[in-house]
Amino acid sequence: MRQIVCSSEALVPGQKMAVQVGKRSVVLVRMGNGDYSALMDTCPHQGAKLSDGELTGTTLPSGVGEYVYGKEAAVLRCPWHRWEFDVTSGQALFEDRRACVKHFEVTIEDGNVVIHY
Amino acid sequence: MTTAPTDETSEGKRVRPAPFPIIDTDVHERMVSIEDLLPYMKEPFLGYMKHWTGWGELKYTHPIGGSRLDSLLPNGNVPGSDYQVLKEQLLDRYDMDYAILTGLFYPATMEAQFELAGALASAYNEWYVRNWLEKDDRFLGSIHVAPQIPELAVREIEKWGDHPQMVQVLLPIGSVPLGDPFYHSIYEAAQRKNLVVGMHQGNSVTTGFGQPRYYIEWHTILSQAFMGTVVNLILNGVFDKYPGTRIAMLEGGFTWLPSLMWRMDHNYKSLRVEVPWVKRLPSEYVKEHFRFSTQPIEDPNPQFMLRMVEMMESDELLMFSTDYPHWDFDSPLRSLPTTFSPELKRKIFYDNAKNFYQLPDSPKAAR
Repeated sequence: MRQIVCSSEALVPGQKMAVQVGKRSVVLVRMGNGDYSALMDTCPHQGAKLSDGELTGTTLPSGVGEYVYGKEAAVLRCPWHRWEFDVTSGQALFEDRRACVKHFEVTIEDGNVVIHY
Repeated sequence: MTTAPTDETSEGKRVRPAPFPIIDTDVHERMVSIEDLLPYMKEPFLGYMKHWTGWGELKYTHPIGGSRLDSLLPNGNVPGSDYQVLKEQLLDRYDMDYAILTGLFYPATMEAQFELAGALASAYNEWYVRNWLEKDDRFLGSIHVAPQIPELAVREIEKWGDHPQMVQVLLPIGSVPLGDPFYHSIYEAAQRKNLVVGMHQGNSVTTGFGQPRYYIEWHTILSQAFMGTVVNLILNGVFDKYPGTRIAMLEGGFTWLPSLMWRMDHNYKSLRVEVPWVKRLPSEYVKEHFRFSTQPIEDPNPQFMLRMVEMMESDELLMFSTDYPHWDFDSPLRSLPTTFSPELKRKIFYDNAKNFYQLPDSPKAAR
């Protein structure tokens, strides 16, 4: 199944929006590099809407006392407990097999953003 | 004789007060606001600055922000300050019967100017009865006091203790031992007015080694202060002097309770001689006089959590809480472990708090 959700210019890098895809609530994000990605719009922890959260970068694994910032606009942070998810995979940035959000393939076709589900 | 010109005569003119050069070694320039520094900062600390509150009572700038992002208000006012939004996001959203307000204003932990602390607590009570309690009969209230001067605290308890919505006295846990005899008149007054004493961590609460370096450390181990306060209240005889005292421990966790009770009982059997006024095993005082709010509930293997309740040897010690609007809000829909039975959940969501606070049944509860 596939659904056109918006024009490919609807979001600028760093923006996100909630969209309805079939019966699913999905959060569409445009990453810092301009690519689109989409995740189910529900945090697996306590059910908050991820589209109410932040599309952000974050601190990467580093040496003690060192801060390395990366993944600019490629991390979706839940509005409640701030669990962080990699928008390219839906995986949480910490190890927990339960902490994974469904990821949807996104393509750009004829100037439109298409979510495959 | 010549004299240096005075400020009055020299206004607007360049003057030299002495016939030699001058160096002023202490002049205070100021920023208009902290935002002046933002162009000179980078991530991740630029992100911290969205949550900057200065070097206040809380020693940490929150790395991710202290509130639910969906509770932020469009006008920029602090989350939790708008009744309509709170009503929609909490009371109505989850069809709540009662919500006990605990504020986030703790003159009780001021470490100086105690008369001012008393005045602030008193003003807060006046303000929030008018602006919160009177708006919704689902709200129940906490009397804010300044225990630094117990006489002032007692006066405040006597002033508000008969208010129909007031159910507890709020004593934030800071860095002082609240079971010390210095504070006992506060428990006497709470008992006399049949009020629970609610203990929530204050922002200045410390750990066994003071303030740790990172917020995540502090937030993880501030339970130490709750553990210490449980022990301190029991062994300093609060419940022997005032057997009607009921203590609600708020936001301090509860999974540490079984081991604390075991260790207290273990020591009591050998060291009772030091505290002969304590006449029963300390764990019995815990079960009779204390209740613990659930948030922030940890989420390990759900079977472990059920065993924790079993190890407490009571299903009456836990009371549900959300901590709205804070970042670590626990949803009534998703936070209690799946292993908890409907009977246990009902006790945690409703019965235990209703019985402990001695609340009338809500109209909805009869459904």
